Amino acid sequence: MAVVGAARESEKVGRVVFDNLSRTFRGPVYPVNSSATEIGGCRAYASLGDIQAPVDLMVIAIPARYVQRALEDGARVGVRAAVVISAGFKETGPKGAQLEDELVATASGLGIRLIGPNCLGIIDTSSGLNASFAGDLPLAGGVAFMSQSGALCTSILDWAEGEGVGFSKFVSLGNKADISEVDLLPWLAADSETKVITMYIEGIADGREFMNAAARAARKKPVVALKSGTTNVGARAVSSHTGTLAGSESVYQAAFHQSGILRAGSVQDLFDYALGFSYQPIPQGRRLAIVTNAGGPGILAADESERRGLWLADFASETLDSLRQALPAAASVYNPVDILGDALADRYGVALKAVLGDPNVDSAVVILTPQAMTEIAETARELIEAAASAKHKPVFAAFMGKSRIDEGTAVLRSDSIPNLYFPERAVSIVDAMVRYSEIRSRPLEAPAYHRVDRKPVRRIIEGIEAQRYIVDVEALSVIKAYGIRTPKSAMAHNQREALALAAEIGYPVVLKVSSPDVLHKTDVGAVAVGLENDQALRRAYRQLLTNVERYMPEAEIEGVVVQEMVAAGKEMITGMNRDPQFGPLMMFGLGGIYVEVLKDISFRLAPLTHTDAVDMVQDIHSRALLEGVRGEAPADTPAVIEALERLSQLVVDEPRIVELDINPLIVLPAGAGVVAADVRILLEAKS
Amino acid sequence: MKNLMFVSTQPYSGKTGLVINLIKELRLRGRGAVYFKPVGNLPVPIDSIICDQDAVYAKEALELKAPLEYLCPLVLTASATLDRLRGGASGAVDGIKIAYEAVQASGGPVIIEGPGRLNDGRLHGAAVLEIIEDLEAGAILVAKGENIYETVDDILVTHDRLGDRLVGVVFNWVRPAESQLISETVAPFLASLGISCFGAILRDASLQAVSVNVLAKTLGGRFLYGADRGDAMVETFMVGAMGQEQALRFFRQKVRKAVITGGDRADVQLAALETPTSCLILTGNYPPPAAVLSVAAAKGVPVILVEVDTLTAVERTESLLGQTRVHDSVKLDEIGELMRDHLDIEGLCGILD
Repeated sequence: MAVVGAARESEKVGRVVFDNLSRTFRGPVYPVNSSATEIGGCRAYASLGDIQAPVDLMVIAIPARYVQRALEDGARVGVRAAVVISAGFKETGPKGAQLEDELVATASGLGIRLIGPNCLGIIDTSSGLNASFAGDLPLAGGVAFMSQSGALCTSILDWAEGEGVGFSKFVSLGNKADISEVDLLPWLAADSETKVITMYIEGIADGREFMNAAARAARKKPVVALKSGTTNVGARAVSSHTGTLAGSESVYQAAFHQSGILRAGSVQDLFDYALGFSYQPIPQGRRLAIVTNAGGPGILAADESERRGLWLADFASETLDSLRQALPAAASVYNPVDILGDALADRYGVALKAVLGDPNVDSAVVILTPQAMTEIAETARELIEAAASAKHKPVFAAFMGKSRIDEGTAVLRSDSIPNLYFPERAVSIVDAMVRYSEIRSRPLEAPAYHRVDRKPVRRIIEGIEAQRYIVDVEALSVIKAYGIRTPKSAMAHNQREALALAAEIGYPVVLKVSSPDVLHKTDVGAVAVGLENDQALRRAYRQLLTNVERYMPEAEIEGVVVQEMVAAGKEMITGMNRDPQFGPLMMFGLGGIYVEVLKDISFRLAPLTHTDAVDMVQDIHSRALLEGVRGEAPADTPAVIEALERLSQLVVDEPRIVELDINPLIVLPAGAGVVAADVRILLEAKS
Repeated sequence: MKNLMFVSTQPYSGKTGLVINLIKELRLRGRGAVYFKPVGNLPVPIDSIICDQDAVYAKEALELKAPLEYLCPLVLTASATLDRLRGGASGAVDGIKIAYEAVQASGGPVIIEGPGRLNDGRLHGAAVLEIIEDLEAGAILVAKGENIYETVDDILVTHDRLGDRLVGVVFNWVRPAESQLISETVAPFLASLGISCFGAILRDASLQAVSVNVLAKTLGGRFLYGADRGDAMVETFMVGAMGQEQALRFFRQKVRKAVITGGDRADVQLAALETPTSCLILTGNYPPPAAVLSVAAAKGVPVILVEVDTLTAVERTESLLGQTRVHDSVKLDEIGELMRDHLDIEGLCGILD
């Protein structure tokens, strides 16, 4: 290891890094300092070139403008990896950003990969490598942590020390100029010392690559992420802190779900989950047993289980019998098992062994409230023994309290049973672990693919240079080419043409004014539906044009669209909004005039797998409407799913489509399909 | 016809660009045409003399030798009007004659730019009708209106006023959907009255655009980044105060825009930078986070800090974009291009003796 910028002054960052490394790293550490002959008792080197030994990693803590030169010096003696702690890059403005671009270009030209700049450093507990200016080397353990916030790192290290959480790798990513989560995920997934990968994220530069890397890693081990900036004010803070768009909540929710990342809602969740995964086996199912010496906390645990979709296990009759035999008559042998306030350690031991032995139980939470007679440390030991009887079932403790409880916490920790202090926290870990077991067993699935005719779409899109909306007949033809049914529709330039088209299409028809300026047609009275005959059409034709002239005199009118009137069905909406980092975000939900109020919509990132498309329909609250309410015929849900898949294919094929809305998507009764009645597409300018 | 005068019934109708480009076309045809704006309606002080902005620009664009006080002898100012109202003698008509003699000394045709409206200068005895008679000019009306029906009425009223001196019309700022109506229906109707139609120039948002430099100057702003990119054009503006997700959808709707928002709204600023944006205008004198400037630099989008609040910035930008002048060589060339595409230039040249 070489530390470039190891200073004489003990409080300088470069010196702290050097001291940290020297203290625990099992290998040579060379201080590089052009103006010192000796640092902390070691010979100092004026430059990297003076070190007559191989260097694997250089840690750089010198002013930003000298960092490139240090990389060049390093490259000359064969260094291939660098951690750049120095600040003064993108976070400081355009000059710093330019410096950072040059740094990345230089590093890539020299074949050096780098972490940072503007970071706290990295830690690898197995080799004693503490190339950071955090405190002492943390405990060794199974948790890998990477963070975009350096300051959060130091707090977490300190907290983990107190909680007995051990780390395998610890990476402060800084500005992520070169190495980011995308590079580290596969590496941590392959790292034998890491049992769970955790990360703190503010923004992601390449969302799609991130999802791919995370999905692959999550097949091997749990990936837990805490994402900040998911509210409007939080997003603003992320933007000003990092210069990246925080990304919308719906994008991250979809991205995490689709790539199998477990989302932590808080720093505490993040490390609760990390505790669970690093110390306990993954449960085989959702069936949870609760053992408690107090009714109230047992009920709280039961409530939390249902809220999170866990099931309170139904015990087998043998289990109930053995519980009845072992427990006082007043105890409750049903789940949650209440062993009463006077329970001593042995009662805990018997009850826990009985429920863990039950084939209907996948995991257990043990709640203890400290009565005067409660044997806290002894109970902890009983728990350890009972848990050992069922090694593949996770057990979590919720010993509630603090000063009396902590002797029990210490005993539990000595055998890898985490004490979470509160029943809800214990249940939430079980839930996270169950969800992970489901993620891991998800079948691998390729994006849904349908044969489509791309040619007409290519022709339309290639013919458009500047950014513009594609609407009406043209937009319908795009959707139609991808195999989604659209109503018969054509443009008339005068009333005579409109009458002729109506005769051809067949009454009843819909009439709409076509104008790139009129995007909300109903608002200005530019739509008339259910026109039954020539007379009604003539009247509507004049009325629509008058309405548009009155309400939007500026509007450029291209013509009037005559469209087949679609049979009645359920009105849904679907569409896509392209996220700058994650790409096409698909949306599906209940349509109609209350859509803005009800906001009953689901999101997934395209390309969609078949399962994603099914989930999109299942995720909305009003899915019951599609299934048919009170004797209604069910709607054609499979056709909705197929339409979502085809739409996903379109927006992936055509990256210039930045927004797409189908409103309404009319869902007909089962077997009759769906019809995209109105389509609007925003096409980006050719680049 | 010895000379041509381009007139309009409302300011900002596009006369300057047409006049300068027509002079260039005439010069290409070997005819030494010159520029003259007898009545100026846009006062601007140059070396302590009040001049007309259009004349100042024409002098530069056409490299005219005549002094500014000859290119535009009468500039309508409040003090000139008051003086006249209080009974002061007007030397305007004589002044215009003297200047005209000097300007047309070369002997070629004089292409005259009228003031904003037909009536401008009447108090001094120099309204459009008086000028065309004095200077033996035929009038070309630059007709620009919200829609063709309004424009036709304007043409007819102008015809009432100028009589046979109105020789033709050039339609400007026409909607694409109206151009067919003009050529097939309006032009034959006007021809029956003896008014020739020399063509119709379509709307083009880029002609209403202003440069980022002009916008910055108007708003009294200072470049935080991109002072060297101030010639980027702004056609429209948007104001952002929503959350990032809505901001992105909103900002995508328009291109070549200035985005006006508070300096403290990093989320809105970054969303704008993800969409086609010509510049960011940050109000309230709150500098943005350094990281946002880095992104702006990476995308090459100028960032301007202004002291005024968002409402004031919006008002000033709005008035600027509605009333653009052609004082910019790129725009001038664009107009020349449009004229060659849509106007009967030979016909216009042919009117002159």
